[in-house]
Amino acid sequence: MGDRERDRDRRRGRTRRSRTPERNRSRHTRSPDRKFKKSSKYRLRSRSIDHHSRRRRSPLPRKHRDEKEQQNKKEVFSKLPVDIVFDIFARLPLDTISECKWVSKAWYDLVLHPRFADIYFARSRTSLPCVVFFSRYLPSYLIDPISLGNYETSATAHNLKLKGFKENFRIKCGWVCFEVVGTVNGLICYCPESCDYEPVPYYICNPITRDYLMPPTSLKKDIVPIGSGFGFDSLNNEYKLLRILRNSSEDGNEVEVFTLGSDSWREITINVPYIYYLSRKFCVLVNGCLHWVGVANLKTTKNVECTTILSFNVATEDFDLIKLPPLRTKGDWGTMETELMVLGERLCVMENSPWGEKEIWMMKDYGVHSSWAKEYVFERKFFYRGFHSGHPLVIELKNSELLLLNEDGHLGYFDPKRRFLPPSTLSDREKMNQQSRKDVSNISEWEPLFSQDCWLYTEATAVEAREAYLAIRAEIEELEARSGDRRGAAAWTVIGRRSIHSRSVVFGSRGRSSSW
Amino acid sequence: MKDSFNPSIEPPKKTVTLVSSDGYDFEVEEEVALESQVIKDGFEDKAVDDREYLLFNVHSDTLELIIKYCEKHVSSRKSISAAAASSSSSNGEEALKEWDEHFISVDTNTLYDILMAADYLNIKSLLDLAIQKVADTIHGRSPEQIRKKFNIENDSIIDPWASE
Repeated sequence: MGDRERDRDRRRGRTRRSRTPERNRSRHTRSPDRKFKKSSKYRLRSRSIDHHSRRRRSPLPRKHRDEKEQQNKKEVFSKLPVDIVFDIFARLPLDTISECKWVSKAWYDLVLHPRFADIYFARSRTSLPCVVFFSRYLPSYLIDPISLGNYETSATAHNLKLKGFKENFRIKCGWVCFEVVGTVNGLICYCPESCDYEPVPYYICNPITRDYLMPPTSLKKDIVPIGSGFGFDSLNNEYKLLRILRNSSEDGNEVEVFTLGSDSWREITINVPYIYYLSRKFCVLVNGCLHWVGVANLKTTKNVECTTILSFNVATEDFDLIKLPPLRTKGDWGTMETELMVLGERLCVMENSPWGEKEIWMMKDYGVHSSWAKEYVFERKFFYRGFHSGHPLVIELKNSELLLLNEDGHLGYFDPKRRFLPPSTLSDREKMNQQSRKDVSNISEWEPLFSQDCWLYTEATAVEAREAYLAIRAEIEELEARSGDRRGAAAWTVIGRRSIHSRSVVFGSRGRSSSW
Repeated sequence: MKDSFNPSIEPPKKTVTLVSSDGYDFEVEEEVALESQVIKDGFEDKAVDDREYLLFNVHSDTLELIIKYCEKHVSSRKSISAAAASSSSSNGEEALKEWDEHFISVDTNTLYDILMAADYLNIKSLLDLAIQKVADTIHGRSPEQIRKKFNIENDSIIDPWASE
């Protein structure tokens, strides 16, 4: 190697080694140009790396490099370590991950890997991984733990899209509403609202994989439950589904438990309290116990009806009662409007009375009545005031900010430090519009159809929604023109037909449930 | 001789030699090399005079990029802390973010090489940057587009709902 050549190499920021076998070369067998290299100034090299790197001569023969590139091109992704792939997936929002599953078999296995679930939820911003606001007259919100990080700028709430799940239901029962029984470890348990005393099937679904599981129907399927629960027993690593049936005899209620993985329901007969009424189907899981607000008595206490919190230990399967904090509204019907929620892994109660401010009480030490304390006071306007069924009203994020449904049924955002809702809060509709511009396939859009009572709701892009809307309008007008009936009957016919045949269009009504 | 020629010049900085898998020497400043946790750990174990690291898994093309990244981060960290000390407002961090963005905008194969090298050398911030880049690439693409982008063979796994 001549001096000029060596000098050039040095300016390019690297020193060519003599081509002795590199892999097993120890530090004692040094190449002769090392002395030369040591004397050079690094500052010069640093610049030269920036400027001359592109013109550097390839050290490997052309043939080898081609092979290398070819190889790289072929299996870029499959060669990555699993931890890195998990890290990549964990940065994606739920809907993208559930799509990613279908890239290849290897990806499918990775997405469904139990360790991935742990990694994913370790990164999430909510303390509850998947939480759902669910209401009869509003879209259900699946709160995506990852994209919530960009709350101010990007869409955070996806409309729950469980294609097969909804499809099955619509064909089977026509229009049904779903109630959320509970959300545990990212799984959501639904039961459809049963209007006609049909047996109530439960669905447990994983919104990431969009898989769902239907537990077997119980032998007592004809009895409509007054309450349901979905909980996780962390001691035995078991999920349990609970049905509380109306007490038909003096011996208390019938309670059935289904453990995921078993093949049938079994009845609990020991220490079942008298449960007269439970205010909501939604239950909250705190401290290994499920909780409902209702009127219940343990058999050991005097037979006095009063509103309390009923708890059920998922591991030991014992019931217990917890006294409510001193709320402003006295009397059973007032306190029936009480909402349970979990904030900071503590049991909380919100008085949902129709006047005054909303107060949230927190039980600081679980099971200690004197530890109830008033934690938050909200102005009324921050809360959704319409009729709702079975959804948690407030969700706490890991940074102790709160997410809630505001008075319009939109997602609101509450910063406890500042004690007010930032006005920059986007409504979910605005977010959906933002999404549609990005042409994401699962955006949701509400369109007024033909009266204020009925809205068209689609799981399609804004363009598709518009087309579907126009098609339906045309159909309605045609039918009305033919029959001369302008009172809306034609519209209901068309919508009814559409809701069965059209995949993407789901209909909801607002404010007039009797129409359905 | 040069030192006597210009007495104000800084004393020569300590350097470390990194050897790429295809046999190139890269002489870099010690603090730049110490961005890699692996070299840092090795540095503490090794004898003081041994300043050579054979990186069998890192090709010279990739190593060049990695060194460029580390140099930028070391120098901008200095300038940011200097700006903070003199309490003058600076957008150094934003500028660095922009630089990172530009740095990582490479083709898939290069991105893969950087990812593997950052993992091998354990450079946390670079690994994070590269992983985020891959995640951003995947985001919003259909399975078919992802397959094309990353040259993944279609082994005919079928989304049962896609055909609806």
